[in-house]
Amino acid sequence: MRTSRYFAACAILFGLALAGAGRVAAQERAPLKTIDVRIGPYAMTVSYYSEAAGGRPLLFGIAPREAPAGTMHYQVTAVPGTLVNAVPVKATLSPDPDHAGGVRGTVNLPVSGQWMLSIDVDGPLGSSFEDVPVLAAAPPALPQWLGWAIGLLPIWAIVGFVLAQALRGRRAQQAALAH
Amino acid sequence: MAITAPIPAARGTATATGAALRSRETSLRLAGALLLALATAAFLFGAAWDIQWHPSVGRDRALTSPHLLLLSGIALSGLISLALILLDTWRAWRGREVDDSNSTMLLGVFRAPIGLYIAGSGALLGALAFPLDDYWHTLYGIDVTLWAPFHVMVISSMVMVGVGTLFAIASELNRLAAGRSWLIAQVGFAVVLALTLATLLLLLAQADYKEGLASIGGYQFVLYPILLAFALALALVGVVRVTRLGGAATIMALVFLAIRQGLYLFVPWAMKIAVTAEGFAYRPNAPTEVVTPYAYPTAVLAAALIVDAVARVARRRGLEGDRAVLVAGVVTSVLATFWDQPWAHTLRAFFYPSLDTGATLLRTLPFTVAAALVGAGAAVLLARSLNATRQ
Repeated sequence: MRTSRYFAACAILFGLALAGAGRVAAQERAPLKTIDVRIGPYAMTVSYYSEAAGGRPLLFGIAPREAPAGTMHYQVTAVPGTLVNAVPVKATLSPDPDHAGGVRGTVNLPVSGQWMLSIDVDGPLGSSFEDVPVLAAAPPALPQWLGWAIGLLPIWAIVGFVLAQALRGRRAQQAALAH
Repeated sequence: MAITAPIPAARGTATATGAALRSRETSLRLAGALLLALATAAFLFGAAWDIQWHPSVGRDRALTSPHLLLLSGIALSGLISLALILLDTWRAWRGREVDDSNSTMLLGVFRAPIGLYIAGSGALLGALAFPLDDYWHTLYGIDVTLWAPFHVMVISSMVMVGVGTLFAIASELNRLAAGRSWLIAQVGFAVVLALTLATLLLLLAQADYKEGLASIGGYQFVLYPILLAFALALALVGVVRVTRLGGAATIMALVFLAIRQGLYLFVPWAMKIAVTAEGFAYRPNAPTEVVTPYAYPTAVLAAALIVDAVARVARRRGLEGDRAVLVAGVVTSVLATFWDQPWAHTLRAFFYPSLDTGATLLRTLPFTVAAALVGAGAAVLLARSLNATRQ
């Protein structure tokens, strides 16, 4: 019995570790989608390693299609579309060991809807920029009434508790008077 | 027939030891309440910072710097409540300090003051509200109103932590005889009530914005005075009816104003540090005022002084003190809404330039009086339940 509990706990911990490692491993896999773009003089490939979804980080890679003659510098910002209520979000980038002159990056898309990955490149042929569209999927919507029913839970709890305690106090007082 | 017998010396020693243990238990619980108050303060400062962060910088991820501070307040309240419940349960198993007279059994296992269960549940609800709020932002954008379901849930969860802490202190207060611990508990109660009031009034900031003007069938009124009258009456009447300490309302008001001043110092400083460190740019139309303390009332001190004076005079003259405090609480809360009008500036300057603020305030008066009466009524109920709590 004790052994089976031990194994169950280990299995849960292992599952959690796998879930955590999933994101790291995502960029080791093949990309889910690739887009060829021309950023000024540079022919590049933008690869997505995760589904673009609101409230989740987007994992991506940017690499030149041909090995560059010098060092490449990148700056990537996710810019919300006109109908998306959000602010621009800077991506964190690191060199891509599998693609010369390429980078891998993560950017959080805090709100669902149309975004643009604004890519700034600076390399041996000069600097340039380009916007690449990304559509962040929305999670299933919760009806407003259900949101409020859940959101007001602490208030119901406080009111219920205070009323119950007040009634209890009154009953105790009445019992003491009866004695 | 009366039977008299000398009390054995050993029994006298046992009683003295029991009293010492009980005193230690009270000190432990008051220290626990202090820790919970500090955790609530961390949440309050984090939330005020976050309210400033949203319109000034924007929410680019779930774990922004202000969120980390407010979340640490929620997490600490939960952990402190849990630790105190486990400690009391252990002490109940071990000896005589914790029993039916000073604790409540839960699920047949745990034994602790009922206030700690409430505080712990509040922290748990706050922790659940945070991912739900993130989900809400994902759906509706970063600028959803402060009066959105899960913002209300996060704030009211921490109000619940405050209420739980008040119950934890009140249960000690109701068992203590006058003395040092009694005085500490009385003052502690006023301080925690000020913190809880400040947490509740976080919601007031939205009343200075577009949503602050409401209308029913063409009858326009403002929400700020209504919310303020309710909260002030609740706090002023509540503190006097529970503590019975001369000047309790004034202590509460002074602590509230100190929190207000603290926020005026902390929020701009924290904004500057975090914006510089993370390399953010300010959004266009970022607010120039410090949103949360700007919405906090200042008339609370005058109102508290009047309520304390009325309570003192009424008790001295042998009048029905509670009724006099009730009337004073309602009247001063309504009058405070004529003094504190931050909404008048913001609504006219940014949203409704042609708004006649004086006429709108007068049109709101019936609602304001009703809200003050409801707040005072709620204070009576709250005081009754706090005064009845011993476990």
